[in-house]
Order: sequence, then C-alpha cells, then structure tokens
Amino acid sequence: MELSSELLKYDLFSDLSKEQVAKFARCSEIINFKKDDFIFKYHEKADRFYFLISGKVSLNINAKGNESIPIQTINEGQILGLSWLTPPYQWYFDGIAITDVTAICIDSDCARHSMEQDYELGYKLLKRFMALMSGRLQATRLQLLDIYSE
Amino acid sequence: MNNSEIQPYKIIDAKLETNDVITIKSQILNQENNNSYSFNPGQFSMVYLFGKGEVPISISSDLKNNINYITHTIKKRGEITTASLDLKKGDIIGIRGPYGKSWPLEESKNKNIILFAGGVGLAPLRAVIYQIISNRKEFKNVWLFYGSRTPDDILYKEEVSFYIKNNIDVRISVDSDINKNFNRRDFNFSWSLGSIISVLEGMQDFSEDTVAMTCGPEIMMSFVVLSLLNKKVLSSNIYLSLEKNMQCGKGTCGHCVWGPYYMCKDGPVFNYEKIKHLLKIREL
Repeated sequence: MELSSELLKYDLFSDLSKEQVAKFARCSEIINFKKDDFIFKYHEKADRFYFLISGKVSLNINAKGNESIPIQTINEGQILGLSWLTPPYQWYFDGIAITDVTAICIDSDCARHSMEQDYELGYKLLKRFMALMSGRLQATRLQLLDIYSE
Repeated sequence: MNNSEIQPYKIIDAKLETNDVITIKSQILNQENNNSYSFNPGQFSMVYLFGKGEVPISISSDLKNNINYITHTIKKRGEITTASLDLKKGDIIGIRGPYGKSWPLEESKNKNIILFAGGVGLAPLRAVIYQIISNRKEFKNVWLFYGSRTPDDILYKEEVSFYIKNNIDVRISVDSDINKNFNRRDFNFSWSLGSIISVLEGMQDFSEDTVAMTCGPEIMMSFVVLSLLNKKVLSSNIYLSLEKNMQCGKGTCGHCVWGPYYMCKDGPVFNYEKIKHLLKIREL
C-alpha cells in the first residue's frame, strides 16, 4: 500500500505538499491488531500514533483495583494517540482493540523530528492537533454533562 | 373524528423499554367510529390517564398501522408519566389529537436525511424511520445518530437491526457501558463510547441536499446544531422538535407560549432558521 496517498486521505495531512507527507510516510507502517489486543498501555512510552483504517479501539482507564473502565471509542478514520505530542510522552490510557483493527502507525520520534526540522509543517500540524485535542476535550465535557438528561 | 374530544382507547400491548420508559399500543374502543388515528410523523397526542391527568406524548407509530393501533412511548418525568409505567394490556386510557406540526418528510424526498436523537428523543423520530423504510427509494442516504446514557437506556433495541437491514446507517453511542448488569450478547448491534455528537463530528461534510431532524434534550440539540452547521448542513435544512410546558395541545391555554409561537400549535417541530434567534434568549 502506498502510504503517502493513504495519509493524504486524512484531514490532518490534507493540503500538505507531497514532500511533507512523504516525510511521514517514511516513518509509517501498516499494522494489524486482533480483537482484544492492547495497542498501548497506560504509563508506557508514547512513541507512536495511529490512523485507524478500519476497526474500533476502546480507550480505557485503570481504576479501582486494576479494573479497566472504557471511556471512549476511537473509530475508523480517526486518530488514535495524542500523548506523544507533549512530555512526558507517556500513555494516559490503555488502547484496546474491540474489533480487528488495521491502522497506519507513525513513529512519533520521527514525526516530532520532521516537525522540528520544518517549522511551517510543524506549525500547520500543531494547529490541527490542537483542534483535534480541543474536539476531544469538548467531547469529554459533553460526556460529563449528561446531555441525555431531561 | 374531532381531534379535541378525548376518545377512550384500550391498551393492547405495553412494553417497558427501559426502567423508566414504556411503549404502549392502544386501540380505539368505539370501533363504530372507525376512525383511524390519522397523523403525520412528529405530531403528538394528549394522553389521559384517568384519575391522574393529561400529558402531551409524541406518536411513535408506524403510520401504516394507524388503522389498528396507535403507539406512544412515555418517559417517567412527573406524576402522570410515572403512573403510565404501570399501564398494562386491557387498561383504558383517553387520547385526543393529533396535534402540532410534523417533520418535513415530503420536502425531504430525494435528499439525504440525518436523524439525530438523544435519549427518549428517538420516539418522535421512530415514525419518520418507519416512513422512510416504507418508501426507502424516495430518499437518498439516511443516517440515524442515536445517543443514550447506557446500553440499557437504548430504545427499541430489537428494531435496530431492522433499520440497518433497510439501508439506514445507524450510529449509536453511549456515555458509559461499565454497568455489568447487561449482557452484551443481548444486543445485536454495536455502539461507541462517548458523546454521539463526537460521532457526527467524525463524519465527512454533508452535501447541500441534506436535511437534518433532531429531537432530544435541548442542551444536546444546541450542540447538535453547531455540529451540523460545522458539517455544512444548511441552517434552513435543520429541524428540531421542542417540548415546553404544553398543556392543552391546541394553542388555547397559553402555557407553552414561546416568543411569538405556541409550542403546541406552531411546533413541536420547528425549522432552525426560524427560531435560532429565540434559542439565544436564555430567559425563554
């Protein structure tokens, strides 16, 4: 699969130049997970992120005696993993495949390096990640707000 | 039939959908009247529980069954609706109506349709779903976004696969599914965790010929509208079903006056373009 063209399907990379997308494609790979696989675990190093091509991933938090509580589902077409963007680069949640999953996995050291080397690219992407994080924050607030109550 | 007169109806089926929502099917007692309850999806009835009082309830029937029975889905809120949870087959209730403006189904033909419901807000959209399924070729893509607190709170669970089979793209999300009391195998569909609005946010932009109909708690609808506009749905193509203080159902008592409108007579279905200025007034 040609990863540059795959990456261009995602809003995050739309309107980037071919060269810019190629930088990310070089540190990307297609990866598959089986249902119930841990894609990442709480407190481990956040050294990658994913574009979900297919499947669903549950973000779980550990609480109450190691009980794993699901708090959000990441669906096909969405980005999984944002903890690599800011220190201490550790996962805050468990990412568990709740179906078979196919994803593009991007090495985060490589991504950060590309963004440091090309400030224009870095700024563009940071703005988009900021919008993504803002959206996730808004979604979490809505979840807490109990919007289905009368 | 004069829709101002209460007609006695016999309950032919009562089903608890969740621990605080019941769906009742009722048949008119006086068959000689031979009046099918003619309604349009989105309209509501005044349902009378003897000795308790009357409440406005959306009609959730399949229109093609209206000769045989009328269906209402009722959520426990106050004294009357709480009493409704005890209704059972054979009980007699009073019904008058239908009242109010309906969803713009005729105007939505040959267009894409987004149905967006939260909680018991699925009830008034259920009649729309049935109408779409009965005339599926007359509509383009149809999405149903439905959010509830938990899987146990999902309405019409047994119908979801029927919707999907009829080419409706169903997206369901729940706030939480950590309650261990339910068995996931009892559900023949899946859901996402998180706000249903996030699911909408994850969609591509919609084309101009998309009509959105939404019903649910107002706080949810206010965020839904923002997301729909963000996804390029035209404000003139967004319809909301609102319910505020309706008591007589026919625009005479004045309890549901909302700005220049009577909620019961001019609504409950409103075009967003016409009411967006009112939604910004906190005091209303």
